[in-house]
Amino acid sequence: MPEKNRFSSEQSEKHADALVVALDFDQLVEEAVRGSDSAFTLLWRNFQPRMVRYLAMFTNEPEDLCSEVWIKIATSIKSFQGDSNAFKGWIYTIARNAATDLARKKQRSGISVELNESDWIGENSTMVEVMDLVKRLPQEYAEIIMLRVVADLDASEVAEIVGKTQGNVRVLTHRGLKQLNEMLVKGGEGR
Amino acid sequence: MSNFEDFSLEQSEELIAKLKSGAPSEFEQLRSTLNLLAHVNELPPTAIPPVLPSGITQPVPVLPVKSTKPRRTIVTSVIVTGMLASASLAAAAVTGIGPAPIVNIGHQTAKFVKSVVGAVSNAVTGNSSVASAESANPQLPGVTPAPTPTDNSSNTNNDQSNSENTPLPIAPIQNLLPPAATSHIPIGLQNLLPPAATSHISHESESPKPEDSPQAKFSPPSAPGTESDDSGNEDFVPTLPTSLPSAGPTALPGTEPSTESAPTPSTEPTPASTPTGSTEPSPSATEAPSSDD
Repeated sequence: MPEKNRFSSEQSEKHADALVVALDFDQLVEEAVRGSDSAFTLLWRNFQPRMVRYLAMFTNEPEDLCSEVWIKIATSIKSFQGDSNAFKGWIYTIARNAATDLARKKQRSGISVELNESDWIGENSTMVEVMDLVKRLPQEYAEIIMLRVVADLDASEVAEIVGKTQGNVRVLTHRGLKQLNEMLVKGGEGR
Repeated sequence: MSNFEDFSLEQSEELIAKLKSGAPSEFEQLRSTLNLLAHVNELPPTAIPPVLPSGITQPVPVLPVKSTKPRRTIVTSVIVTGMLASASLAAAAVTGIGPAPIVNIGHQTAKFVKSVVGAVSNAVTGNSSVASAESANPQLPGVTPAPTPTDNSSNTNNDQSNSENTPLPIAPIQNLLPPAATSHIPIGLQNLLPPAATSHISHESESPKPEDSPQAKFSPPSAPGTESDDSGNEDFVPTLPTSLPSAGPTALPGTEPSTESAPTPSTEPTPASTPTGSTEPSPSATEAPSSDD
């Protein structure tokens, strides 16, 4: 479909809306790789909230870090090859590397910035509690649960991102969920 | 709620699978929590979608960044160069080793610095001449200074001393004194005299009267006996006291009358011309005391 690159902005918006209705992520990724701004915006709208929650496990400023991640995605999306599942794994790999770099920089400078979670979570108090519970988990458990639940990735994709085996990812997922449930039960009893 | 102690690995995978389908699970509390975590897709209202590089049509203005590094480098290099140059000049001036132009410049720089320091110190100290005079006559604080010869009202030479109220340096006048004025003082005791004693004498010799000053009656020392006897007395010009000190050691105060013992018969010696008879101070005349008469 090389003609689609010469679409006007209005035609592109209509075409993107049609793609959103169909939720054809494979086609959206293909359009974004070819340089469609509307397709890229739709991908951003779909993945941005999940990515912010995922990056909240690493930093107190997930939105700033997420902006840097999307800049990297936009500058290198032309070189991407694969379907929508591969695209999800690709963008979360970029996000994880960016979070690792940021953590390394903060560790060198010793800077720790506190941020109100309502800035990126919103007024949803239940979400604040849930995120607080997930953050209490060990970093390894919390990251894998976020990737599997929030990013909606299967064990093989998560194993590829974090550099572990599928079996190890399943075990870590099980331990994390078990510990999270224990915290939920104890929290309900305490109330 | 089921017993979570029996929560197996397969049940955890089943729970995650049911999150997508929305099917109920026996671990309802955990499922609802994970469902809330997974399906909240609210974008913040201030979120701005990113733009692909191909969609950027206008050039992004580059913000000017002021860098102080070049300026700092220039200032540092100038300072270091100046320090090296001054150090090399100082070393050349002190040791005298090095290329001739550098050594010369170093010497001239050292002289200039010395002159500037001297001028500044003089300007700071103010009346340095008074300080030097006071240092010549050190006095205890609170003690009134001894009357100087110019201030001495009991001096017999008031006419001369009062006319010279201006303070005079002591040392230069003493240098002008003929040794004959202090020759009656034993050698060694002259240094013990107070400055006022010698200054008193100095004022007498400063403006000598022709008839009082014995030196004026004598010819210059270089000409005793060498002057021709037949030379006219009219040719004699009284010499200034500047040439007197050299004639002192040979003329004793007691020998002064002997000069009058040999006047020339042809001329009538005026007081000013009385020394003309002394132009021929023959040894016999000096040795002949007046008691022989």
